[in-house]
Formats: sequence, structure tokens, C-alpha cells
Amino acid sequence: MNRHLADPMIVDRADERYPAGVRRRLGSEAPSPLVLRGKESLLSEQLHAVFCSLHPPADLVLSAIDRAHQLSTRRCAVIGGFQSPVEKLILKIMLSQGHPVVICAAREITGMRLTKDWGDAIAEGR
Amino acid sequence: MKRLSTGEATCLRGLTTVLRTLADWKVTEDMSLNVSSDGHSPGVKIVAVRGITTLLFAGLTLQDDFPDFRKRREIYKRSRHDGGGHILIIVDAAQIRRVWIWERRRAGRLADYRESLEPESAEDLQRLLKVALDDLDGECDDWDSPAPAIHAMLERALRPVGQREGREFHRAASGEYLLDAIAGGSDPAGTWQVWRALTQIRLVDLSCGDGSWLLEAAATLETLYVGCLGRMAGCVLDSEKVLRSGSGRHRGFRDLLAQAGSGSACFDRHILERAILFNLHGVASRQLDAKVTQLRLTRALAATDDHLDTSSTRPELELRIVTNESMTSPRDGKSRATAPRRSELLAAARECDAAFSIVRDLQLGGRADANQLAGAYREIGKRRDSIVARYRREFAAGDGFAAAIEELYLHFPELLERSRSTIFREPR
Repeated sequence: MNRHLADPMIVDRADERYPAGVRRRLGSEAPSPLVLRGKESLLSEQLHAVFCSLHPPADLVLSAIDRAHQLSTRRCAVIGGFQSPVEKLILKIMLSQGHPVVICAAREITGMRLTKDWGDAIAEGR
Repeated sequence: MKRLSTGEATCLRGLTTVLRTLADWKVTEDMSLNVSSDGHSPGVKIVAVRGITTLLFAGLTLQDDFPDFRKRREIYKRSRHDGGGHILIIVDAAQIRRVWIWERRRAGRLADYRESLEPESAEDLQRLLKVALDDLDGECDDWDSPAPAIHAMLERALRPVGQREGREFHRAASGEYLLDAIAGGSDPAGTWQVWRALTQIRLVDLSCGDGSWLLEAAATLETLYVGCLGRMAGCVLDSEKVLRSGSGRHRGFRDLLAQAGSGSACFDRHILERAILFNLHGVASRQLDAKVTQLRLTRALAATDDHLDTSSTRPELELRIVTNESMTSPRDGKSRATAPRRSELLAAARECDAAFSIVRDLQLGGRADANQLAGAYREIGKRRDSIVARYRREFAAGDGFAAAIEELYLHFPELLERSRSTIFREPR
């Protein structure tokens, strides 16, 4: 049966679908199993990490928006937790621009309800 | 209009930004910039142009409309300043190189200082370019201006100051001709006029990059200011020797020297501060470039004063070194010459509104630095104004004005509330 992209997929460390980069970096410490939802091949591509403090310098907020637009024109997907307000804004920009994103949700995702933006992005393979 | 190259598009957007900024700086009365090749129009004059963007704004494309080199040179000559405060606008590096070549050639023939030293034909120019560019290639890349070129352009900007005094000058190096004029003159009135002219000069770099040109300009202006003040001190000393009474003669000079802190440790800082904070302006295409330029200028100031903080830029510099609107700045080197779609403008409005909410929350949480907050609100306000202006221009004409603004308002609730009086003014 074909798997719907939004369906959760459990990947063991030994599985060939397990992200090679994570296995290489963390070795035996690599988390197992991983629970994925969406297009798992994104994890094998080059990723651009995004971090922003909960309380960033005020004058950098706008420049974060500009940077997000610049990133959205690059080929590599963006990865992050997208927890802080600025990170959430960056995520919104990425999704609206149709840019691929990897979200590291700091919670259990098997039964997590997806927002419309997230659901549409997963359905489109982003 | 011909298709713009990336550099031209950047400079044109920079010119749009600087027009608004020029109004803020009270250089022009309104948003229009009088550009004329006949030298008779009032308002801001273009002393020397580095490229074609300025003439693009005036409806001309220099390369297309004036392919003949002689005609272009004629336009450059006629766009000279002839009085009052003036602005030198730097636009394109290619023209900087040509001026540098002309000036270098002139320096090689010190006996003959007239314009006839410039290449008299396009072929002559091409030959010079071929020879000189080989030298230049080793010194800089496309976006750098070699120091001699900066000096040459500064000389062009400052030349009217010396000419106004009717003094001859003999050197092509940076500002030295003017120093000759100042040092050689015994007339206090002449020194005073030179000082006033210096304080009125505005040097605007439309694509300032990392600020190298501005730093060089600041150093040159500092030299000229110091020369002027030195002459003033000389006049004061001479009058004291003659009158032996320390009377009120040259009171203006005394006041200026006291302000500059002559004889004190802060003299150098005051002079450089005057040059940077009064005479220079820059426009960068990227915020990173603007930040780098601001920081470099701050550090130039800090070099004269150990107590100055260099960990962040001076707030005044943020008003003088500005960036283009991000929504129109080039992305990955590709310029956006087409008008934005309505959805893009509305998305930009939502993003700007979200940024405002975040900054406001930072302020309410008491975890933001006051200077950073001021800078953030200022930038957000500029972005908001830019979006509103573009929206109004593109989509809010005529009968649809009220409905269009209402639509924008829905995407912009936080910020528009603060600017309703601006938004709901009918477009001109």
C-alpha cells in the first residue's frame, strides 16, 4: 500500500532510509528509532539550519526576515525547531515561498495535528 | 527603457531610497531631484556622476541616448555645481575608473592642468582604458573604487569650493589643492567661506558596499577641516600679536576653535565626527553592507577616542547609512525590475506587521536595548512606509483607493493603526 506522505514512518538506525549524516556524526549515539512525517529524502540533502533566540536584538528582527527571503531563493532546505517568534516567522515565510523545510518538533509527532500550511507542504513533498 | 543590469538596478533603487532620505535630510524640499545637464536648474546639482542611473531618473539613458563619447563628456562637464550646497552622487564603478584615468594622466602632465588633458576622442579613451584597466585589475574588483579614483572624484566635488574663492590649484591629489588655497590665502573671509562650503558639502554613495569610499572621503574631509581650523587659529594668533589685547576680533573663528576643542584631546574626534556625521551619506543594497559600513565608520571615530564603544554602531550613523527596501533588493544577484504583485505586497505587509509585534513584545518584556529598539522601530516604520507607498502607487489609484487601502489595512492592523493619517490621504 502506498504510504501517504503525512503518515508517520518509523525508521530504525540500521534502516537504509535513516539519514546518513546523522548516523555518521552520532554513531551509536544516533537516536533510534526516528519518527518521520513527510518526504524523508529531504534529510539526505544539504540542509541550512536556522536558530534564533527567544529574545533577539530588536534591530535584527527585520534583517531576519530579509535573510529568510534570501534563503528561500537557495536550493537547500531549511531545518530548525522553529520555536521562537522569529523562527516561527521565518518558517511562515519559507512555507509561503514554497521552500522545503525540515521541522524538528520537540514533541511526539505520530498523532500530532498538522496545520493547513504544514499539511499542504507535506502533500507537496516539501 | 532598456533592460537594467544588476548594478544599474541596484543604483536606481538606491536613488529611490536616497530621494526619500534626501528629503529627510532636508537637502531637497520635496521628493523630486532636479537633474539637469544644462547646469541651470535650481535645487540639488549633480557635481559628478559615476554612471548613468541619475540620468535614467531624469528620463535619459546616457549610453543609449548619447553613444558619442564627446557628448557624454559634455554632459558631465555641464552638470557642474555652480553655487550653494551640492551633492556628489556616486553610482557606477566604470565611470570612476575613467575619471581616475583622466586624473592620472593629468598628474603626469603637471604643466597642463586644463580639461584638454582628458581624452579627446573615444579611441583615445579606449586606448587609455586598455592600458589602465590592466593596472586596476590588480588592485580591485568590480565593486571597489581605487583610492586615486576616490580622490579624483572628491576633487571634482570640492573643486567648486576652491574656484569660488578664485584661487588656483596645482595638485591633483586628494584635497591638497584646496589646502594650498587655504594655506596660501591670508584673507580670513576667504577661509570662512571655505569652511562654510565644506560644511555644506554632502557626499552620497549610492552603493556604498563596505564603506571604503566613505572612509576615504571622511579622511579627506578631515584633512580639509583641520587645514581650515589651522588657518583660523593662525588668523586669531596674528590678530592677538597685532592688537595685543585679545579682543573680540575673529570671534567666529574663536567660537569654532572652542567647539572643536582645539588644543584638547577630543579635537581629532570632533573633526572626524563632523566629517562623518555632517557630510557623508550612504545607501547599501543589503543590510549587511550597511551594518558593515556603519561599524567601520564607528571604528574610525573610535580610533580617535579610546573611550568610545565600538561594539555597536553609532545611532546617528543608522540615519546616514541606509539600505534599500528588502522587497526590491536583488536576491542572488538577480534584480527585480518588474512591479510587485498585489499578493507580494500584502505578504510583505503581514511580515512587517509580525516583525512589529515581535519587537513590541521584546520591549514589553523589558529585554531590549533602547538603542536597538529605536533602530528597529525606525526600520520597521521605513519598511511600512515603503510598502504603503508602493501599494498606493500600484493598486490604489482613483476610485479604488478606499477599497484598496481597506484591503491593505486588513493585513497590517498593528502598524496601520499608527499611521492612519498617512494611509488615508488621497494619493496625488
